[in-house]
Amino acid sequence: MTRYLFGRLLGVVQTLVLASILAFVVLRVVPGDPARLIAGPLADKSTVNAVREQLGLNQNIVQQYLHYITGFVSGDWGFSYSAGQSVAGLFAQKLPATLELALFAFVIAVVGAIVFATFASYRPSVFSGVSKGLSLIGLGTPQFWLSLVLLLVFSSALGVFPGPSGRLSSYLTPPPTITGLYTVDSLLTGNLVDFSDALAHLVLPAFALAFLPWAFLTRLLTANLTESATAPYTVVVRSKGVSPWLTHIRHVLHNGLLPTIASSGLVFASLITGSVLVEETFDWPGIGQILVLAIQRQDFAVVQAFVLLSAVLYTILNLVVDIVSGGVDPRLRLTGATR
Amino acid sequence: MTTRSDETARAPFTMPLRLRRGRPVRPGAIDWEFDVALLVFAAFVALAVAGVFLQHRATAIDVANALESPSGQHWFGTDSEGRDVFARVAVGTIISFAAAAATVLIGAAGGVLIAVTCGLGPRWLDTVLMRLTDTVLAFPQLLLALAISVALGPGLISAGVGIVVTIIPIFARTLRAEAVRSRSEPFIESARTIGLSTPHIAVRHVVPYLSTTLTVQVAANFGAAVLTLAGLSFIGVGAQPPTPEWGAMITDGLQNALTGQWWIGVCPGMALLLLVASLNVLSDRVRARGGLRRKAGAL
Repeated sequence: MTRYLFGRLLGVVQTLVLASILAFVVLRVVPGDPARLIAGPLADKSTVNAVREQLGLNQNIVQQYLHYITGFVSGDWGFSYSAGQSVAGLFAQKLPATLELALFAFVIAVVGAIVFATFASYRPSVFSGVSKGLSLIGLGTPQFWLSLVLLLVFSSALGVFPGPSGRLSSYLTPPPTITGLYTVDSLLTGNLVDFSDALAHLVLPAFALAFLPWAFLTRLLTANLTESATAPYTVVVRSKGVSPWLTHIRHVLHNGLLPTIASSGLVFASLITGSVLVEETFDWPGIGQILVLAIQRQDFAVVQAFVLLSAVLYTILNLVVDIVSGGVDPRLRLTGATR
Repeated sequence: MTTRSDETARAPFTMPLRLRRGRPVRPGAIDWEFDVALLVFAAFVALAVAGVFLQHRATAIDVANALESPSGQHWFGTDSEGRDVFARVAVGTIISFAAAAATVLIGAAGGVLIAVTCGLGPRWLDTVLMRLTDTVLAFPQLLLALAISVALGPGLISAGVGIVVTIIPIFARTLRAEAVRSRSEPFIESARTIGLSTPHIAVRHVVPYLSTTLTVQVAANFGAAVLTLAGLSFIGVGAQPPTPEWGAMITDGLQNALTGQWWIGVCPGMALLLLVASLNVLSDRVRARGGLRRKAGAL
């Protein structure tokens, strides 16, 4: 196990170093002069040169990379000229909004998938058609379009939920920051008006974001559960006289859930890329919206930090998942090591 | 030693083949899912053909008839500049098909090249190439494509390049496993024994050996490519506004959606959903077939 762990860790470090080089190179070849963009079109040559010096753009590319990567590791992710503050500060400021959205979407996706998959594998004749059809639609639905449809149906036509107006109606004051999540903070301070309003704002974007991972997890989990429902251990449990439903919940579900964990990486990726697409539509003031704005304003420091950061998180998550699965199931450890 | 298993190099949101067996289908039973998907796909092919004849309508500005709701004359209504939304969706079908086909085929070609090099080339090259593949796979697909597209300057071509770069490693990873396995196949060993050159073996023996997995991968990545392109265009780094690309049309429709003109954004999205869903079903069947033909499939 130690050897396996060490090997995996070494590989991840190598991958991350290469990934940082890739992110650096891709966003350094961009046309246009970053110094000119930051200084503004009216700045004179000496100002632009000063900015260039300040950014270290007059050094050679290797020095620039080393400068960038040492900064990145120590939490200095560059300067966003369009927002007029450091990228790290900008992300820290916008992170709670994205976190709140992603968290709700994650819960909806996971709970929804478990419920649908449990029923679809328990009574395939009744439920599997519905579950299959819905998840098929879910896998083909672009999240940004779903956002639009949800807004049209539930906000414009039915008026049940508020339109694309961010996290809270403008006439309300946000709750004091404790966790940064409006729903949690307002509940902690007992502000039920804020809570219901924040929740109402959260429902549609969270559903739009949750649909794709929900569909994916439902299909995967249903397949896993169907497989474990016919496994010998299930037959043994049933023949001992345990009721079908109890067998399904305690044994089939239990064993079927485990291999699903291996897909956490994909779910994370869908949440992070989805937040970019969904936040834009709902005017949700999170990191995804920052990224879209940064692209429009050619603020490459933000794009670079966002892309690299997501790669780092994605890789680390995949590593953790592998280690957890390997810890639980020794067979995976073996094949992983010899591969 | 590689950092990730081939499992994680699947096209996004496709499932491992192991889990695809399901319950056996009764012989003679109608596979409704497949039939409907085939029908939908055929409809899109027809739509693409119609698009060829509708090109002028898709871009013809007619401000007098702007924002008209769907009617007999304009099936999907008109947009804010009076352009016929149906014609735009039809032309968008061509763009989606062409872009997806081009990116997936170029990606597949790149993947095959890497896989064969890894399988037949020196060991150090294999290690280097796989390390690079892992690096690209370390990024969420849409985000890397987005970064590349931003760097090259927004446009359909840049978005295509971004998608190709993210697709190549998916092909390379899955095909490499096959190419490495092919080395120990008797027919490859015999080819070596009778003194055939490595390029000859690569082209005439290893590439055909990869073809089943290749077909499966092409099918699986096609729908994903369509979606990724639409996503990039939606954010504004793919196809640019007057182009009738579905993602860009949805962005356009967003501005009119909340004042009641729902058809501008909803229609292209509906097309996107139906096409990708039908492609998913079709590629599922291709995977199932491929898996049956070769029991020890790579997926």
